[in-house]
Amino acid sequence: MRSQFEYILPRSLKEALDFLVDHSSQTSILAGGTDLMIAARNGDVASRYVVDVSRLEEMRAIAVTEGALSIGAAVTYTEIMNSPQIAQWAPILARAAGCVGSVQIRNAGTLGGNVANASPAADSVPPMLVHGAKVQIRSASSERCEPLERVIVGPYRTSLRPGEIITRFIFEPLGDEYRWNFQRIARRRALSVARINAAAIGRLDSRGVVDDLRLSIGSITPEPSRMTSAEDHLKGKVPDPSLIQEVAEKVSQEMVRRSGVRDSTEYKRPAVEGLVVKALTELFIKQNCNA
Amino acid sequence: MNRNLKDRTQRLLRISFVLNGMPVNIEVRPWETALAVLREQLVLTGTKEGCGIGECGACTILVDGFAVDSCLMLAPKLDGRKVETVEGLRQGEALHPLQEAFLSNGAVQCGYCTPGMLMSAKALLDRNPNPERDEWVEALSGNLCRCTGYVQILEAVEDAAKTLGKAKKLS
Repeated sequence: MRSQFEYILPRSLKEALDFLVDHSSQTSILAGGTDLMIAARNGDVASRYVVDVSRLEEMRAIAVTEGALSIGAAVTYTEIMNSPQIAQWAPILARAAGCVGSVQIRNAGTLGGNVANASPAADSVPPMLVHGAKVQIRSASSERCEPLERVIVGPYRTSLRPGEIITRFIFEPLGDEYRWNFQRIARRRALSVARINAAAIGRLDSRGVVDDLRLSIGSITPEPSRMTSAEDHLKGKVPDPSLIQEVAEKVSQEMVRRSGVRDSTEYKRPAVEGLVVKALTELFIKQNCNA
Repeated sequence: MNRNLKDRTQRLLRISFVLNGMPVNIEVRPWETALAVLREQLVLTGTKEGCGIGECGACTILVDGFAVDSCLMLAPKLDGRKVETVEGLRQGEALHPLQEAFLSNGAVQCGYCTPGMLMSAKALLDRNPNPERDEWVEALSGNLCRCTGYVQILEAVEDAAKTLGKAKKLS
């Protein structure tokens, strides 16, 4: 039986946060609704109130200040794909946004919703992690800014406290010399949750040596993170196919170390290695930013 | 937590929006979907429920020109918006060029995906009257069809784009 609740439309962020002071334990936050409405259809939304933040201007801005890109939590995937600032400062996020669902889903779904839902397969998360994204979180009485890895703490679990709303994301500016690559495995090219996804951003110096590499793979570990031991294996070296293969194996070893051996490991081990090889080969050897 | 449904508020929410060019002012249950309100309250049954979870696009409507799955849209979110459904495509007794093109290109078999396909195509053509093929393929990629194999649908959209493109040039 479909969940039933009251609908609250705050006219400002302050109004939304003030409402949560007394009602947060009985409230679900609604942005695009592409996750919440499925839960509601199944009768899984126990909240008495649903607070719609999708129209709050304070959460809808895309802006660049001193090179740091800020994206409001209620910005939709379509807006991310069409934003000239994101095309310039975080194109990998625009690419990942274009992989989500369908045009219809992208017109409604939001960045904040993707993070708050905290699916391990969230397509926006690896791109945000490789950009060192920080999350601005506000309540009526507090404001904090946390690295994304401290906000998503497990499958479908965040460290958000009662009364808090994610308001925006702040991205580390990376210069033009950085290349990026986003890969994804899914059943179809549209309308499919990612089985595994991967974001890679890196930079070669004038000698062709990797002087920065950021790698984050979705759906392979309980909490999303950068694959730092794999990154370190390539840093300071000139990339070649056998080195890239070693990096890929480091990623799959890290996956098994953190997630254990599961039913899916037989599939995921070669799949994630193949995905990492593809991403790094395109990044450094073919020098494609996602052909 | 008390899950007795009678304890949930029975208060209805009043919303007003423009639907297919006409103002609408109705009361809705706050947890209802836009799809249910359109079909059951407003008796506009052109929009279909295929999956109810945003994976087939049969329920596609336009809200402020954007294609959305109405099964995933809470009805109160329609407030203040400009909403278009398949019923709004016809212009008096004349069909919309998209509808004509679907008919003449054999793009309708069982017809269940058709309203959603038409609305997704309209969203594209309203914004971009001269799309490239990959653009209308992308625009329809959120609409599933189990009958046609998509070819006739894509040809119909191309056909309609030509018609609309010509009309734009003449006007």
